[in-house]
Amino acid sequence: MPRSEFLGGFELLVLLALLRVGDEAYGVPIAEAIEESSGRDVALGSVYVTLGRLEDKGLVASQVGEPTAVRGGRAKTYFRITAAGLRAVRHAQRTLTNLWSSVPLKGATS
Amino acid sequence: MSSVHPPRIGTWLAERFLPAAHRESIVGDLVEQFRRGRSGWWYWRQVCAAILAGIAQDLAAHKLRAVGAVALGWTLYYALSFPATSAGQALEPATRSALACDPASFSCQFWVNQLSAELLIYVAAAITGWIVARLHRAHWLSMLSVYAASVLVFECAAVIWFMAGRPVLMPLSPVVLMLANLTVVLRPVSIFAGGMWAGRAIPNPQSEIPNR
Repeated sequence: MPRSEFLGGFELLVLLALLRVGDEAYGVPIAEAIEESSGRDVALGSVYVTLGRLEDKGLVASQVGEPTAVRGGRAKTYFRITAAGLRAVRHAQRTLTNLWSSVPLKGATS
Repeated sequence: MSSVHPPRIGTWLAERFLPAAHRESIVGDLVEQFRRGRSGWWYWRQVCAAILAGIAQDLAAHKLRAVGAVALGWTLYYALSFPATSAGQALEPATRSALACDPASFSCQFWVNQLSAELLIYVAAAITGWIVARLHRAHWLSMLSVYAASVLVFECAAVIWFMAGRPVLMPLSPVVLMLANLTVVLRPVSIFAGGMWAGRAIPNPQSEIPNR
């Protein structure tokens, strides 16, 4: 796997949120999906910075939609995960599963 | 009662200072969320976070350029501080007589210094900010921010060092402490003001979008 496809923690959250939201994925629903899952407030700016980085890595593609009145006449940018992005998510899942399976939880103290 | 119009200044700041790549989308998302019932406080927080995130991303992507901008800024700052200080010292007698205050009093010394030497230092600082912004047109906000932040850190360290070096027998009054803090921020603020002045002349991709 190329080095550029290794994911940071927030990058993985954004990619998973993208997968969960599906075709209507733009900043607001992506941020909401992460907020619902993590229970933490998410800054839209951070989501877009991360999406921009993922786009540079070729893991995400974007498409500008039509301007709407509710947004003050500003267009949405829709994002979708690419094949490389999907591979990166699966790789991250395998890595985490392998690591979790070898973590000795029984002896862990709080 | 909540307004359907998001904070005007917040929107202006976002349209001016957010990274060009997703600027329209971010502002659109913020407006949409505000009209769905988010508060003005939420809106402002998101605008500030988005601007800071954009600056951090730009600095992370252009680390060497940032080091160069800081080095350039400090070189200019150092070079301009000499003529500014000399000219300011030459102005001090005229300022003192214009203020007609007791030269022995602290407030007189402070204001004479502020209105002569320090005032010219602030002008010099603004010029350095202007030059740094002009020479980094594509990244002027992030380069200006990192340079101004470096001056702020230096000034804070200098004040702490100055305070720590004072004998305990000469405690500083709250007024002196407040004024010292004020002067600490005025130099970076001057740098930022100069850079913003340059930045307003730099073409903004957002301006191609018609007013809505």
